[in-house]
Amino acid sequence: MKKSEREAESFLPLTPAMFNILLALSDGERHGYGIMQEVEAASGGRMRLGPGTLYGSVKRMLADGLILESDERPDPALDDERRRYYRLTELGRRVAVAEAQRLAGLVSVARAKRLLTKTQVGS
Amino acid sequence: MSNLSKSSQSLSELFYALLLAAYPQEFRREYGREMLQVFRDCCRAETERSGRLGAMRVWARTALDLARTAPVERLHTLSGRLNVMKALRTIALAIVVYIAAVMIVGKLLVAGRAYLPYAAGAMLDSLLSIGIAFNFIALILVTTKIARPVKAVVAASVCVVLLLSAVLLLLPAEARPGATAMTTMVLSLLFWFGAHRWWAHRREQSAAES
Repeated sequence: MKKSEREAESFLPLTPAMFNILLALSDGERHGYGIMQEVEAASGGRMRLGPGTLYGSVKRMLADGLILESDERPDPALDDERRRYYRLTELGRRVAVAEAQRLAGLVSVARAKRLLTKTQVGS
Repeated sequence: MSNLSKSSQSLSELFYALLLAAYPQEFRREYGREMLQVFRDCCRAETERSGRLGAMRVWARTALDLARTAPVERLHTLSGRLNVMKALRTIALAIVVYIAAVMIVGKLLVAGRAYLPYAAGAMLDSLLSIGIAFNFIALILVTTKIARPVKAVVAASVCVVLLLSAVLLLLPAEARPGATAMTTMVLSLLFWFGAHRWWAHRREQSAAES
């Protein structure tokens, strides 16, 4: 196993909030409220981050080097300049991939034990 | 948005701003403004979507979130302080151990001096006394993370040299150690510096590998 993979796996398992934040940032930088909206939309409204959960996780992820505060604004003309934007680091991306693989492994075990059918996974 | 709902939203934000006091001060300073902004955005969106009921739903979710996360953030801040307490406890324990070591070794040296030649006795004396001072300073610097191991060893040797120089300057001329004793002091200083430099290098190497 490569050193970078070992480093990424040392963060696993992630809390649901942290994994959802990494997923929300995987396709571009967002500010706090943008992350909240993306998490809610991606989970079909089942996962809603409160301000405390969001910024508690952001604080720890910044300290661990999984995300970075972005200096640039995607569109300064359209947005409030006081908002802070966050983006994924290379380590953050590797950790998100490692967590997704871990969860995929668990899902395949559940499927092998007939706890889960293909239709249940999709629903 | 009507004036009434605007004023109730401002009141709602004011109340949330007050509730943010449940979080530790450092956390509030860093993220308080953004948390308030996010709360404002949520309230606005939910009020536009479902009116007062929406605003009440945001409040219920935010209150639960606050009750769950504020104690966690307080605990995180406390555990940061506990690490400092742990370092201080280690140093206090080290002081006790070093004092006990000085007393026991001193007694043994006095007893053993009768059977040892002078040079060997002086060498043991300086090895132990310089070693205790050197180890103690290095331990403080490494435990409190003031300096990384290699830098801590260099800083400890500089401190010991300064301490020795100060003691030698304070001693009256007739009581200052002779050339043999000075040589043993320099040799033992080099011994501790070499031993600790090797240990610090190994430690930093293994940390880099892992």
